[in-house]
Amino acid sequence: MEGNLPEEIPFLRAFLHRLVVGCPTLEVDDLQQQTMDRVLQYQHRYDPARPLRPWVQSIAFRIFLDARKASLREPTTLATESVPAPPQDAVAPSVSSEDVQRLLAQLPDVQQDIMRRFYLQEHSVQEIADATQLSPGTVKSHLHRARLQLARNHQAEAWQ
Amino acid sequence: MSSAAQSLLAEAQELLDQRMDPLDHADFAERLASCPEALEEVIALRAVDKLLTAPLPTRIPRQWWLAPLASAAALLLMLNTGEPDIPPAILEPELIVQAPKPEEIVATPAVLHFTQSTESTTLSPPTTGDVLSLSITSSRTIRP
Repeated sequence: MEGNLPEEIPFLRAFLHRLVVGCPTLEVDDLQQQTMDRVLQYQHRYDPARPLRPWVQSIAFRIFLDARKASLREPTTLATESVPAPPQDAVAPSVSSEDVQRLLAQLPDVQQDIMRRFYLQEHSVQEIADATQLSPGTVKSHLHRARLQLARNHQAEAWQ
Repeated sequence: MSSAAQSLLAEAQELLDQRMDPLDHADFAERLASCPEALEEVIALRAVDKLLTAPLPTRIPRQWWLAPLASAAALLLMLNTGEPDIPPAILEPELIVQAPKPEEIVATPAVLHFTQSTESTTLSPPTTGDVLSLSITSSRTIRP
């Protein structure tokens, strides 16, 4: 397994980058290091008949959950008491309006319209249904397909 | 994809529809951790959602532009754009705010204007029942 691990690192990093979107206090490098440590520690539990990547990702995910929970529990120090802490689910720093426009432009017109209403205008599913004369179920279906499409488009290379 | 993985995907989408983070639900996160088949896709969905819900230079949160006029006045003060002090009358709850549409909100140099429906260019103390429109432009960016 150790021989295959270096090949997994770019995929692990891409996965971790997606995980930490919205968690500005967590560092990809730290999570990667902890993941690799644990992978090596528990390599005897790995079943070589199964693909390596999902196993590594599961370990990375548990490490991320622990780190996220710990970051939410961190006590406020005197020095920062007077300054509001940034929300834990604040924004990925590199996001720009161009990124969002580029993301949405990849979608069919109807999905673009619904995604814009949902995300940019912050309309609810019911409000979108009323405005577009579609059923709420159809609106949800478009939202789900659009998210899946964008997620698949950016599975490997984006947010690195 | 297994039915368990499909179920997790559908559940994640449903939570995102309700503007909730699936990973805030401990039970969901635990089941996801045990389902490597769904893990990558759910995380990618969540990342898309996070990116699209991120505040952008060109987006003013809806609760701001739909807020009562008092909130708009607080925003004006916060941006410290050198506009005149807010007349006390503007904080009267009877006043009606006519919120701009999101596409009318432009975010570049920091200027914030109140204009009254009479299209006067100067800010005069409004009276009860006046309809005000608020346009906001801000130079604040999230981060480079």
